[in-house]
Amino acid sequence: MKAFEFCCPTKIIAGAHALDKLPGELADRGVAHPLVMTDAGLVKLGVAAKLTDVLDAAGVAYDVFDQVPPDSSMDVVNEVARLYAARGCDGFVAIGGGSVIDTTKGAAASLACEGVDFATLQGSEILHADLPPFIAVPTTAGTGSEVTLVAVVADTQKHAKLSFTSYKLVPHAAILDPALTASLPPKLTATTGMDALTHAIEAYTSIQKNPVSDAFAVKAIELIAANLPVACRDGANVDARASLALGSLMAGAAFSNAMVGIVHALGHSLGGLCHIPHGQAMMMLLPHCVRFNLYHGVHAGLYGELLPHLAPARAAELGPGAMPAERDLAFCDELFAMNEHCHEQYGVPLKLSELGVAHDQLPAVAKQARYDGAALYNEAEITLDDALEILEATY
Amino acid sequence: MSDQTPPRRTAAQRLQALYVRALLRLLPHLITLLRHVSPRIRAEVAYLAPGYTFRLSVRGTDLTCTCRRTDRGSFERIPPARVARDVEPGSGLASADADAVTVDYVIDFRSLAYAFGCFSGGLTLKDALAQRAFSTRGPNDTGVALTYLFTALLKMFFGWRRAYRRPAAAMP
Repeated sequence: MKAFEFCCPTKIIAGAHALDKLPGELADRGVAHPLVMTDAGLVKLGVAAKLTDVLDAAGVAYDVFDQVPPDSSMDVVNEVARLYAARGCDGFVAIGGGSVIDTTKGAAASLACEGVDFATLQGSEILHADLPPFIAVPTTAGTGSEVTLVAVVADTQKHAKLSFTSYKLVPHAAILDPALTASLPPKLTATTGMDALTHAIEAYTSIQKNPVSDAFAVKAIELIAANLPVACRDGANVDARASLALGSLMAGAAFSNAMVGIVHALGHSLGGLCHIPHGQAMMMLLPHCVRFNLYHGVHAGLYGELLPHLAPARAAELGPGAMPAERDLAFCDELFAMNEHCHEQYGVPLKLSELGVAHDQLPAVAKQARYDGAALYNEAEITLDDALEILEATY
Repeated sequence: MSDQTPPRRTAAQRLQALYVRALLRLLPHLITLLRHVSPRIRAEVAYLAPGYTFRLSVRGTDLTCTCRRTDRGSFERIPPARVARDVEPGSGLASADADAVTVDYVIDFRSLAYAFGCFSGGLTLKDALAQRAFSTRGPNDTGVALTYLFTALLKMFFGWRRAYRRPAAAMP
């Protein structure tokens, strides 16, 4: 067996009314005055109020930072760290999507290192100090950031997404309450859900995959495949929302320990240079990358292993005697079919050209993807030609 | 006063340390020389800006090597005395000492065994990464370029070893 490491120390609090347990979790960690992190959109939609209402009812004093932008930046991270210190806060509660939780990771890491600029901590396994108490409350089922060791923050000057990895960045607790994702529109449910699916698939095919991350990835794929269509169709379905959130978390735990590959390398680049939302990028790129890999003999047989978990009916139709290559291709077809369904039902764009990406931007996107941190975990080295071929197919 | 005794090393470990030390000494010369032979090495050197400085180190030992890319695309070894001491290597912060060299990127092997494995071709850099055999500090993109560069360089010497002789992916 290949040597590996696996770490998922986050306490998971999941299910209906899970948010009601927040005051107890804060008290257990000795937090008397948390800084609540969120974004303006969640405040406007009343989602953030669901959390602050719980704190108000429990008599917990808190401060709020609600200006996390969709693509967070180093400036915001450092601003939050300053605010936390100035207001005398003693812990973080982050309610939001990946940007909010990753911004909080950055600020918490900066504080743990006596206020250093988070930008100076780029790399892997640099942090040695423990973060202040940190509870993550995701409002999308996609990034899995509530259990990951990764923080992705944009460098707005270089138009690049920078990633920071350290076991110390993993939040201490994650609260998954389906009430928080119930109002998510189908389009956003679909793109964030496909982000989670991409995490699980890339974790299963990464060079850093291991038996424990595989178990998380496979279960995540089952949960996402079974519940994503239901959650898109019927957003108020509590069971589907809860299962989808759990699938996203498990995919997060898988990729936090196994890392991701070519889909994320290209997606980070599209996010940094063309401002394509991450989930949207993952959804568009995933089937094209799988097809590219299969055509070049990369991960042959591995994708087919996932078919019974992604599409049990299709796997049963093929039967146990199907050749691995048949299962691989069926897996790829299923991913394209999922995208087509979301496109037809919810109007999710499937081409880069529909999102305003200029064709002459593709070479720059390809180059940045080749040098993205995720590229190193891809089985095959990503050449500029490879990256361009996939981008052209997605264009 | 410390009452700790230095770790006792076996003869094999001392030999490994000697080998890694020699290779670290040779590293800047190897890159400088082999960029003329390998287009892949040349391409990755070109990605790194003039003045870019990286450090390789091995945890638990005094094995370390700091190299800087020159304007001509060659690499030179930087003696420890010239490395900035007021900023952490890989932090991206500028030193107050204008004459000191700041390190842009650090690759820190977590043990001598891992470093020896990589430098003797028993372990590819990719396998080492998969096993979390080293930690890094600095901008990711240049770290990726360095990984491509070292992989190409090591493959030139150890391409015959099993770790590098994996069956090529078959075209369908």
